[in-house]
Amino acid sequence: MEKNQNTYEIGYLLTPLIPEDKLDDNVSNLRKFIEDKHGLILMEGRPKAQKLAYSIKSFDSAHFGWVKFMANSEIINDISASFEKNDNVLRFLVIKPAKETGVVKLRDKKLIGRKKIAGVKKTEGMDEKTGIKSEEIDKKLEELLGV
Amino acid sequence: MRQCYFCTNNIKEVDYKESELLKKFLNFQSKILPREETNVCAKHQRKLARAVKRCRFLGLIPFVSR
Repeated sequence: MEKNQNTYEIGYLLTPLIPEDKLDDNVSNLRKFIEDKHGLILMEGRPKAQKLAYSIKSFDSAHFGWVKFMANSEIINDISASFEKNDNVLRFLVIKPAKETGVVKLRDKKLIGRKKIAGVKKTEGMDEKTGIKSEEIDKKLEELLGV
Repeated sequence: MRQCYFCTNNIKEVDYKESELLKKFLNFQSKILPREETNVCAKHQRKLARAVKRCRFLGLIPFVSR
C-alpha cells in the first residue's frame, strides 16, 4: 500500500429530476471521478429517494447515496472539486471514517500483561524470573559460606 | 441508572447515515439532547454530536424545528 493512502467516504445528494432508470449512469459518472484519480472503491450505497428536512437549492427531496473509497490524500481535493462541478450533485460531504482495525489501547495492553499464560504452572517457592527454587539458593549460600 | 445505548448494542461508531436513529437523540426543537437525558457515555455522546451535525448538513435531519 502506498503512503498517504487514506479511506474516505463521500455522502452525496443527487437532484430528484433524474429518473430512476438513469440513476445508475450518474452513479457510474461519480465512480469515474474517483477511479480516474486512482482511487479504489471499497463500498457503495445506491442512491435512494429521500425527503429532505429543509430545501436545498429549492428541492424538497433528493436521491441520497454514498461511496467509501481509498485514495491518496493529495488528490482528495481534486475529487471533491469534480463533485462540485457536477450539476446533478446538490450537496456532498467528504469524511474520513474511523479506522476499523484499531490499535491496541494502553488499557488493553496492561490487561494482556496481567494475563496468565496457559499451561505454565507456578510452583511454590520458585523465583518468577529465574525459575530457581528458594531452597536451592539457601543450600548454595550455605556451601559458599561454609556453614 | 441506564446504560449507554451504543455500548449495550456494541456500536463502535455512530453513523451519520442512520437519520432515524439520530432523531431519537434530538428534542422537539431538533437540538441535541444533553448526556443527562440521552444516558449515553461521554465517548459516544461526542461521536453522536458529530454524526448529527453531518446528518444535518446533508439535509437528512433538520437544524431547527418547532
